[in-house]
Amino acid sequence: MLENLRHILDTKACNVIQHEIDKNVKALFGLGEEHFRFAKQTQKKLWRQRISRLYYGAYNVRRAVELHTEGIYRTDASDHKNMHNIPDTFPNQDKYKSRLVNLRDDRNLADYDHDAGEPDLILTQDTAETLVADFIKDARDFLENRGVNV
Amino acid sequence: MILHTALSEQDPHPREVVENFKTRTRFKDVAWAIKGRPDGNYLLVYLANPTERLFRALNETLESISENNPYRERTALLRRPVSPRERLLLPETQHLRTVLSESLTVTSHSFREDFFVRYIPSLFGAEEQIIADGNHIVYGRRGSGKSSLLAYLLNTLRPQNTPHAWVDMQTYAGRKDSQVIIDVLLEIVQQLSAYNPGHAEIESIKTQLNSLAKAKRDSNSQIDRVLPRTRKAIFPLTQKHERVVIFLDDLHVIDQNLQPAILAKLYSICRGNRVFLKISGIEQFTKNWDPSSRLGLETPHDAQVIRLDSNLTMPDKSKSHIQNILDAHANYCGLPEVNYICGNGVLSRLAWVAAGVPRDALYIFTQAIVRATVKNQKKVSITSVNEAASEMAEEKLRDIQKDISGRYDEARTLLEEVRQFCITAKRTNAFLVEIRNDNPKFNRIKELIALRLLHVLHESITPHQAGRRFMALMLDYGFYVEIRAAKSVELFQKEPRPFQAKELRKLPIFQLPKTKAEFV
Repeated sequence: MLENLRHILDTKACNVIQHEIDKNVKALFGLGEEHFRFAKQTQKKLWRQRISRLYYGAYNVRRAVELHTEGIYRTDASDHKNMHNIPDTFPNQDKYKSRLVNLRDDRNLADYDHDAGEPDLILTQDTAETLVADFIKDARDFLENRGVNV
Repeated sequence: MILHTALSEQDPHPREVVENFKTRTRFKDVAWAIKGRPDGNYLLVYLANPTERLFRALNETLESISENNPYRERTALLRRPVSPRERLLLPETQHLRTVLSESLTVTSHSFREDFFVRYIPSLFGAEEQIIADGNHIVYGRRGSGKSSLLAYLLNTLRPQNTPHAWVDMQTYAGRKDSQVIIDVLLEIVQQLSAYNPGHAEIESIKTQLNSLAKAKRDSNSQIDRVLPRTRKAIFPLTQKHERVVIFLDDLHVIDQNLQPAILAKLYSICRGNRVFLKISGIEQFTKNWDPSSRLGLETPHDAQVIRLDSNLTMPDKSKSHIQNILDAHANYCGLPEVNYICGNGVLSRLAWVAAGVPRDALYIFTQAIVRATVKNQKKVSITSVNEAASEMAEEKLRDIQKDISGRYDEARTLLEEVRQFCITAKRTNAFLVEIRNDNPKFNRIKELIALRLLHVLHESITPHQAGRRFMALMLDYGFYVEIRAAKSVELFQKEPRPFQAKELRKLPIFQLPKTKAEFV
């Protein structure tokens, strides 16, 4: 979006917009971290809650990255289908493209499927927690390298 | 849930995913399973250590399979749920064997896009040197990583589209005739012409070199006339691309008298023209400068030397270097580390029997996997490494033919003498020899070191009398491993660790004959 505006706005105006975008990037990133912290302090026997919060941790951090890189901010439910949208220059891009989709499927199972048990998960709780922790760390490095201190 | 490796299931959809993934990764097999969930089936693909490369292969697989395949969005790549006991039978290990075999010969085409994933930097930062502008000669024994270092530079040049030419001198092995100079020049001009297609002068030079190559008479003076034209023709390339790089891999395989001549001709094209020579060879068999004719590349003025091989003088560092190389290949194949398939002490023994030479270590390790698999061992054992080292000795003897074909018998005779001294007379695998560069036999011993039949434990010690310096050497493990089985040979050390001087001083001395001058 911002790239298109650069054709009609001057640098100063674009910087103001980028600054405003990055304020929201930080807030979204913070929201993701909050979900992650909540998941970590939740007891393991509450596997549905933990998987759900871990997913939302990753989901919001991914949105923060997308908002910064693409200027895209979505609020509709179909956004959950975009978990594989990771920038090309993002560290371990292919691992996250694959595993975050697996985590989304586990979250759907945890939140909506009354028949499901913990053994039905694709990623164990520990694997999911490590995945999201790594993703948040890589996202922080990625954004900070691009001048956004989250 | 049942783990599959054979695709015997009726459902074609997992087959499509797995087959596509195997093609992309070159795995002969992968373990997979279908997980039934309340929301439908999920395809799980298992590897011991899924890495980014393998996730990329899976993502590409899922993007390329048919859109109606239900596993297109329902496939996961996971770490194996239980640690397998029979690790040598894993598809990952089988793939490692293939990958290690491929890496034994490094050429300009090796690894391509995966080069930097699998490349392990040398022990002493040789990469920083080789990428610098300037002429370099890389010295090291066979398998020490000379070609890999040249390939490192080559792979940094490729993305920048920097003009380069790579000449594999093995093509000209054993040649003594000056026609080699024309052939090499022609190869270089042909490769560089790709960066300036249709350039009239370059085409004309190619035609002239072609006709010289066909001529049977000595064409030295005609070559000299081509050189200034070649120099001028290459010049625009350096203006456009900053620099041009010419690689000569394994210069030592052509006749020693020809080596300075060929370097002199190439240097006349390169000097002051931002064209840089990157040469590799075995130091003892390379003559980069002929002082009598003043031909060639004189070091360090015309070219700087990069030495890769530390023999066994720093055994602990050599071991960690070899382990890093094997770990990089193991990771590439979806294994967490090479130790995952090794029994206790295997890597230490491997580094020791390979005498710190990376390619020998890769070869011995590949053979050891085969031997351990045949014996139904769960992991690679020290015994299988020992056996593979013994087999490697035969390979090294064959290398004599490649590196000093004219002096094969001479080298074999001296080797037998040293072997008798160590195994029969002294019953030890290590010894001292006095450093006497004027002594022909000492120089032959240095050739045995270059051929990896002897290995340097210490470059220079003074065990008894001040002023008399000795080199501490070890006979290659492959020549007594079978005898060792009879427990008749006392091993100097069994695994790589720094030595103490007092250990070396106790070693027996292999006497050199006195020279004529000493008799007088």
